[in-house]
Amino acid sequence: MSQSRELHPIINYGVVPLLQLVLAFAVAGLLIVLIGQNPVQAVQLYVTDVLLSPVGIGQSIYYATTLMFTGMAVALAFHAGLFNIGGEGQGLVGGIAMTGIALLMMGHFTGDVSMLMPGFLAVPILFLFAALGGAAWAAIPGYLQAYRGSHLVITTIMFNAIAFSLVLFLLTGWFQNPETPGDPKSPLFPESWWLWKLGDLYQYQLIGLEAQYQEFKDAGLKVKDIKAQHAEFWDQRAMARSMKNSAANVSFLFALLLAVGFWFFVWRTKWGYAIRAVGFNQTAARYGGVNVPRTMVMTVCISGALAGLATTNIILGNGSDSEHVLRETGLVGLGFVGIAVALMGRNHPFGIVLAALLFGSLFQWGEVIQLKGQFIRPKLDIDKEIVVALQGLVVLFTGALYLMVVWAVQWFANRVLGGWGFVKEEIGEERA
Amino acid sequence: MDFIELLISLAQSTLRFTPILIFAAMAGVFSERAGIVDIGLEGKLLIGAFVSATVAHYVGFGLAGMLAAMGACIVFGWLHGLATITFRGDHVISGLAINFLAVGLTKTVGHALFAKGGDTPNLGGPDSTGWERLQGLIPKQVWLDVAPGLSENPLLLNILSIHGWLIILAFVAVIGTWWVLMQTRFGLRLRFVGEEPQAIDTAGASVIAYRYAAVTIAGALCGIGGAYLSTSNIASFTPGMSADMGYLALAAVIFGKWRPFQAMLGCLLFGFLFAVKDRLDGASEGILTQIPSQFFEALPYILVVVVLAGFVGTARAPKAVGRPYVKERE
Repeated sequence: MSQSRELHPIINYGVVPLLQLVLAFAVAGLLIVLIGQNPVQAVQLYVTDVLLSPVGIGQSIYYATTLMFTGMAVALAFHAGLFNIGGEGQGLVGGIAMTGIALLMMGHFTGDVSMLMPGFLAVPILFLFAALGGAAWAAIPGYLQAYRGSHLVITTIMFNAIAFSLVLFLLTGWFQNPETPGDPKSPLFPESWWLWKLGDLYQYQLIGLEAQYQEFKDAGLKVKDIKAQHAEFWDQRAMARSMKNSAANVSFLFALLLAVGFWFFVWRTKWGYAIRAVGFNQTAARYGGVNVPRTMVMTVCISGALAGLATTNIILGNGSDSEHVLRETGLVGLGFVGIAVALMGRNHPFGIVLAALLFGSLFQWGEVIQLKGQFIRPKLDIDKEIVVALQGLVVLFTGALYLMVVWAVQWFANRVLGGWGFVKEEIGEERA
Repeated sequence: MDFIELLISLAQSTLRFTPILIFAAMAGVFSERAGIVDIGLEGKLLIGAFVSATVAHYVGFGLAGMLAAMGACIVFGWLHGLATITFRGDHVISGLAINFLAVGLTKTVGHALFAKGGDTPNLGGPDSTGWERLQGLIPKQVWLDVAPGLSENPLLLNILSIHGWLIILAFVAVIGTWWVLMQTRFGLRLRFVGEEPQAIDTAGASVIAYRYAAVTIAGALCGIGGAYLSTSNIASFTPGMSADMGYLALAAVIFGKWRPFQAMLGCLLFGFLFAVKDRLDGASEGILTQIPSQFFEALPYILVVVVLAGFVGTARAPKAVGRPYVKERE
């Protein structure tokens, strides 16, 4: 086995991840065959209803936004050699902090609405509290890891469970919406605080398009005539109409900015340097003057803040008008998917954005299968949790079985291609 | 309510919850002692629970379900082994992958087989005798035949026959784990694989083989734990029923400093907290109802954090835990 050779970057960052994805999808396809469904149909649904449908794209972007936050949360901790799988809990507590300050402003506790602020003032405050809540919830496990050696993985899992109990306690008590006693959720956030939908950009275009549509109607054209004669117009109108209904919102742009900030922070600041030094070699970092425990706590706190921010997209950016509320479901599992996103994206913000878009679209695919699978012929009857299985496969092949793929590629490049310039010569012992 | 009665009922439900934790914890002891971190205990419990409930439903015999669950969990143990031992992958990531797979696979396959939102059919139904037979490995009637005096003590009879034999097996597993690890040559070498793998290699034994043996045993134990969860404790599988028990078991292992008996004590403690929570859900009066039930729900998890924070003395993990074994230059 040629272990002392490093792969060419093109293979390392292009071919290897692609192969890992292909393996994961192949196994998932096999699973679909085994449960007696047609994988081709499932793929068709993915293409027509996710990739080529405006609502599908919009919803994918919406999920991808959350995943960019949670993926960066996991990735930042990875850079310090830490494994923060408490994204779900940190998101929940971020939501609690945000809802707490929101309810205070809304006069939920006192009945005093004098603090009700307009959106441009309130939304930054809400974002800040979401981040603070997530950071606070991460601080304790981070401290225990850094100063008492408690395993961060287990403490963050425990904190997820505790956060769940906490949010249920609040939602059945202080935060409970008085209008829905049986349903544990907070009161609705005021509409002026909701995040702008990306679809709103289409609104002005839509006004023009609708006017045009009316003109056609007035000219005596029937719907099917318009469809036939003005196909381009019809598509534009359909696109604008459905984009308006998807949940994609401005926090996608915010997340993109944050990804750039992530890159700058990790690779261009002294804090980022300290984080990477701790992740690479703690002893060397300490020798180099880095305060290792403090860096660990800082990393976990920022990681928690990112996970906390993810909740803003779910509460303030929700696609359903009645769902701008805090619920006990929190990040609806997207905190965990962040792990797959970070692994797939190799902890680099560019990779994370791509992986988040992929997983966002897969999440939407799960929804589509659940909602639409019943109505197509032949029926496609797959539970949407197949996405969780797929996510497990991706984590398996990109994370745990990483070397399996790398060794196979190395073997292929060396033996079959005969070192075709794809393999750089001897760089020293491989980092296993 | 009578205090004694309360104590007995608490003890009874502690005994109901603990075996799941014990089986998983013993699996954890075997893995960790051989140097394998096993976050996947949680997922394996879930897979075991699903497979045993499903097979027991089709075969109509509980024991078959349990054996199938052991087989399935061993396969997932090997997957963990393949990733961590052969391909030197990160143990935690591999374990997480297994947990995700467990959640996704049980729900997907369960939906495909039974179309009940991931649930499996209730084994207690009139058309199935599996439930009775599994429980009835030592059913009431047998107990009464052996010891007719038991009929005067229905409580003891109930404890013995309802969750009877798997509970006993759980405690037998603790003794067995201790015996294998501490009293046999296999166990000695297994512990060395987790501490000083080079020493085992020098002695001419295969580190790889011992680690695979450890994940196999861990898989089998998780299978029994899962079977207890879905076919003995409750008569069907519901998605997500493992409810972090695997993680708690892992915490119990650390709490018990990687020793079987101490880990068992941790399991009993967590089991007791679950029992208290369960008790309070049904309570309607008394001082304890003043405290929100969510507090008791969170209590085992809070306790784990306190325990892990090192307030119960220093714990030292096996030295080579989580590290792949790479021979000197190949």
